Amino acid sequence: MIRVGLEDVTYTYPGTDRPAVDAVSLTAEPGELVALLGPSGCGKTTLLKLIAGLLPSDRGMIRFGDRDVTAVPAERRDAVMVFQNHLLFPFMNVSRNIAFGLTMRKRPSAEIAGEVRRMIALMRLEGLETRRPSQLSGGQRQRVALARALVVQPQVLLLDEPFSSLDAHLRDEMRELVLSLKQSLDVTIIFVTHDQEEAVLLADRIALLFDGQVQQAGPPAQFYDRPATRRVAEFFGNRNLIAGTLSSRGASIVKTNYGHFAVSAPNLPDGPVWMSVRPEAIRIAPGDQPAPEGNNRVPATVLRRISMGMRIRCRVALESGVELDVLITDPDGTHGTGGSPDSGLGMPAWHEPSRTVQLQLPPHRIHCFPRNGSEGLAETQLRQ
Amino acid sequence: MDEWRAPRDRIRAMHTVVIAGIVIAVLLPAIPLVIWSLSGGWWFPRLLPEQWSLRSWRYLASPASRVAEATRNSVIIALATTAVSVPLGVPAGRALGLYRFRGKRFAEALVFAPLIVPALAVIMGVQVVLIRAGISATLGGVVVAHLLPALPYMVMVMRAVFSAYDPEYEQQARSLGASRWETLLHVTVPAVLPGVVTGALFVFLISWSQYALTLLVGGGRIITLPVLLFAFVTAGDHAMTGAVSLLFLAPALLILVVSARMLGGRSAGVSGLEGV
Repeated sequence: MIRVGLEDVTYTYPGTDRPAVDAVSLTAEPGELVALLGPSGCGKTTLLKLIAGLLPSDRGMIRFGDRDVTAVPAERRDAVMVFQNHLLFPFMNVSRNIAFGLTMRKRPSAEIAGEVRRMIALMRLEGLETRRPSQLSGGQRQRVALARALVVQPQVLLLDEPFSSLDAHLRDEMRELVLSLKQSLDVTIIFVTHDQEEAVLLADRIALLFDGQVQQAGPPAQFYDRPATRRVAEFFGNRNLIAGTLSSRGASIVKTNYGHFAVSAPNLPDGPVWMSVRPEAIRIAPGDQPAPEGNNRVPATVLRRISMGMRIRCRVALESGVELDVLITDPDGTHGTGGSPDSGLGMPAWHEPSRTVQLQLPPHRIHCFPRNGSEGLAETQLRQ
Repeated sequence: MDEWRAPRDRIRAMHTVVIAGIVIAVLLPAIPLVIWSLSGGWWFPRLLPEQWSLRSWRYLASPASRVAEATRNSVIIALATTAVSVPLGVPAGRALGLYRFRGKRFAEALVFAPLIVPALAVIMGVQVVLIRAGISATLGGVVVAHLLPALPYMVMVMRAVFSAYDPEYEQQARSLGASRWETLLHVTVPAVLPGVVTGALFVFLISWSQYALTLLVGGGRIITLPVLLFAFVTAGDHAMTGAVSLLFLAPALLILVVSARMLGGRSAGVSGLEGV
């Protein structure tokens, strides 16, 4: 296990103007599983190749532990990359593919044979030793590719979208395999994905990249609760954003077009902010009943709703047009069981589309982050 | 996996067309050649010769016919042309098949121009250069002349191979601990070898069948099989024409068998020839 440290790493592809990886600083602690997350073209695969030593960084420093590997060629870096489409050598059978790294390290053939057998057992590839890659299924190919990387016992394992070419069932299987490998092998894993759910599921820490720059890095929960920017919030499917202006005279208050909201003291200077609040944090009550306890109450109109089994997700509109998602975790609890005859879902009528409801946004569940002054206002006007 | 399919099918189709062409062009005309080479006298309208004779084969084996010398020259020139074409054509094909660079279209036009412009049209200019260089009427000069029509084919085959080749295989090898040279040896070469062999066979056959270029640059001093064959054809000696023709066809038949085996069998590659 080893710490991977990046400092100010920058790379521009020859013949292009804009850096594909722009001043990235990032740390993966020993034994950590770090996800490089971002939309396609954000530079995450390029960053992985820089860590692998397959591209030379223009600037900055890459450290494995205390060792500066910035100028070390890929084959002596002790980091192995597994590519997106497995890249098994088609002219070699499974055993020889797995043995490749050890053969290049000129290990004695008896040792190679033993290590290959061990990997074949670990990856449940028994009986496929003499098959060609073209005779394997997608999941088997991916397991061979992993075995081929792990057999050299790298300090760092780099995975480029390792599961994206697999169907849903195999993907779950492979994810579990990677998680169990992480526990049984002493290896720091950095993997690239565009799938935010996959990153949350697997990673100890996520680094979200846009346009070659790290937007935010931290544990997965942080991206939901405390997004750093609007793009981060939206990438994580957070659509509950309200534009306002923070002023902290005495208590912290955010002034919006829909009234003033109390927020728990954000570590921010006064000025334009976004308020973000998770759908499940918003309290909702029928419009004809007394509003829930507490401040930050606001009336809204239900636009549509989707049953999610035990829960219901509502899309509601505030008076001035901003739309919020609200999750009703106990749809018929205290509010009666008057099933709506036309919904067909057995849902009570009080949160039917076009009904008025009362919302309450608990101050401690509102997260504020800086807003570019012009952001958010234009679209409010558009909606009106 | 689908992205591999298109180029593989293209290469396979190319092979099938070439093989079918060789079978039709080589095997069918060979039958009358056998009869001719064994005939003592054969005139219209007889279906078969009146007399059979081994005269042409005996003369073929004697030094007086210069067949041995011509065969030796043909083999040396064709092998040398191939030996020069491979190291020139493989990197050129890689550059054209894999990379995008400024002036690529112009480079392609220049490389493939000899496929369109007849070599005969430019050979007099080339001959002046060869005379200045002092290699006109030598085996080396003839090899240079043969490169004109042969090299474009090598580049063309290798460009097709490399356009279906994923250079990330090389990165994968490096990442697994292979040095630059080990990567070339253990990954790149096995991946493109079937293509290199195909291209080399093309080049050998093109050089083998050159007549006019050999005659002009060789100045009559370099005798190859086609030059000799033409002499017998113009002399009207059907028996000798048949015998030399069969000798001339031999490597083509051999290559047909070799490449058919390569296509039918176990050859594989990152080049997209896998499973062909």
